[in-house]
Amino acid sequence: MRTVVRAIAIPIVSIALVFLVWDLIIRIFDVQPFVAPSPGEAIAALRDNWDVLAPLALDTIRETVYGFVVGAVLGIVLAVVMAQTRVLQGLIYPVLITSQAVPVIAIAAPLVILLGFGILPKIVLVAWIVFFPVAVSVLDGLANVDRDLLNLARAMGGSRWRVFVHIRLPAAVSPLFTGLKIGATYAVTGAIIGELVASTGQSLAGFQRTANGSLDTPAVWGVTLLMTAIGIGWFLLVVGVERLATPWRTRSTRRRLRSRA
Amino acid sequence: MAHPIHEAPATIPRMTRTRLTALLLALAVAALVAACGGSDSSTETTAADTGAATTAPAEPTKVTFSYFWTATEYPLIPLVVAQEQGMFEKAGLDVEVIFPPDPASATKVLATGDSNLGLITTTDQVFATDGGLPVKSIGNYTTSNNWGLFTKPGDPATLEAIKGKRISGYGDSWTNAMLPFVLEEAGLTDKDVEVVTVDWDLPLLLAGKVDMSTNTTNYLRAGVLDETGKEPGVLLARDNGAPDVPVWVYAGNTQWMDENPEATAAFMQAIAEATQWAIDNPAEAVAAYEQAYPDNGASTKYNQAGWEDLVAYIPNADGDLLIQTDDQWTQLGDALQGIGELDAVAEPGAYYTNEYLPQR
Repeated sequence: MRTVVRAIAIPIVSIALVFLVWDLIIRIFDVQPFVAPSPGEAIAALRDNWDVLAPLALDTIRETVYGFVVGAVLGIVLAVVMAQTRVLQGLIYPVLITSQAVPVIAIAAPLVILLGFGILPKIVLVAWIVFFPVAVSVLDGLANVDRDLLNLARAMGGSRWRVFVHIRLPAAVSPLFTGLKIGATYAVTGAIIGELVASTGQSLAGFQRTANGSLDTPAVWGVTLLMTAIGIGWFLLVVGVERLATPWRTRSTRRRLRSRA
Repeated sequence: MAHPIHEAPATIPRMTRTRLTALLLALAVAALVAACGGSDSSTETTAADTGAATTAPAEPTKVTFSYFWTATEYPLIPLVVAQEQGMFEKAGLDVEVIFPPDPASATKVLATGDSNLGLITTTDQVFATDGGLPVKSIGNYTTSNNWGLFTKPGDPATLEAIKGKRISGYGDSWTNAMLPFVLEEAGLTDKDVEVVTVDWDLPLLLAGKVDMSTNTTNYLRAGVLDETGKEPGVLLARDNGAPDVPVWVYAGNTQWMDENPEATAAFMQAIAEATQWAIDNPAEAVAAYEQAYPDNGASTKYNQAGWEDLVAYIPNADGDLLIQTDDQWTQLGDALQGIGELDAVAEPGAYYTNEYLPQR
């Protein structure tokens, strides 16, 4: 119980400290509200616009989740394909690296022209950001299986498929979640870029741009907090799934019984 | 082998370092005194020889000018002409142009005093006044509304053609304020069209992904001409129900202007002269701009088309430059209040002043 409380309390204290430092910077340097608001002003603006922002946030979450799932599946598939032979890895890996070297903002506009103004280009952008860390992490996991274990399995007559399913794949689960957690933190950025480039009607990024144009800086920062919260929320969800899927990684150590010597 | 000086900071004892610093300071002071002395004596000699006044020419007043966009564009032409043709120098000004990190920060840069004077949109000025920012408009850049709806070459740009169309906008306050007027003139509401928010409208318009694009004539017409060599369809908002109010104004930080009224007036005088020259000599003005900013990133064809288009909206109906009116600010305030972006319209004098403009 104490562990659970500590696991929740420490991050809350950490976030509270961030807000405290933010507030102190505003006060100490006497930053004007139109340049940067205090946390209180940003939260108040978020509260005041909540009726408008809540449905927009749901749209952003939808784009983030769909894109994340597509990116994660794509990353896993690519990693599995690359793990099969060195030739395939040699062919695909440079393309993966190149894809991440291309600034996402540069492909955003052509994507809209090709895919329209709906949710599709946003999903593609999120997937574009997410698939890479997933693919690289899973590939690492698949490639770094204990050689002795593989040799033992083969010596016992294990087929290529059974070795893959029972030995290689489980070894890639932990790295998979590492990739998913990295992807989760960046996923919302892809959705926001997609919204900025083109949207039908209003969007979270569009609201932020309009607020910025109206010199409503507290609202701009309020929306930023909301976007950040979406990213953190999604990350925590992935962490939760990881705990359920890999209990051996997070099992708490039992308190040792001390001998009364 | 490393040069001894490169090793010095790490190895010289503190006492020696202090002496070295003192010695350098003494040398610097001596050099300064010598320079001043030389200057004085030469001034005295010249003054004595010519019999002219002995006061040295005043140092030019430094003015930091912020543009409304994040990079150079041809609307900077009046600034460039005033710079290149010595109008600023004659006015005793040393003008430096800076660019905001994003368009919405153009007003903030002025309000914080990071720039003294600048170009902003009229909607920026209204929001700045509403938010109590120390920024005031001191002269119109354009005097007329050149915002409108555009179609790709060959497509009709009429009120009748709007219904059911997909229209792109930047999600900015100007578009939000002006579009309802045009829709109302066409007997439509926003339910009759699909408005999409975009980051860059030209490729979407030319690719047929949007039917109409909202922009100002100088940007979109120039862009279409540059890309296709053909004229786009233009539906000017001012001719179709929207108020005929300027889009951009010269504005300044009120504190700086209060402290530097002569410099502010001198700046506007130089701008008035440079603008008139650039209107009268458009090709030379564009050439001067491209020489000042050779890496401006746009083609000469685009810059020329844009400037020639903009020139039509700079003087008012009487041919006057820069002069603002109460009416333009009231109309814009009413439009922004009408779409719910402004709670109350202030007195026009809260938005602008003409006191720094050249006397007619």
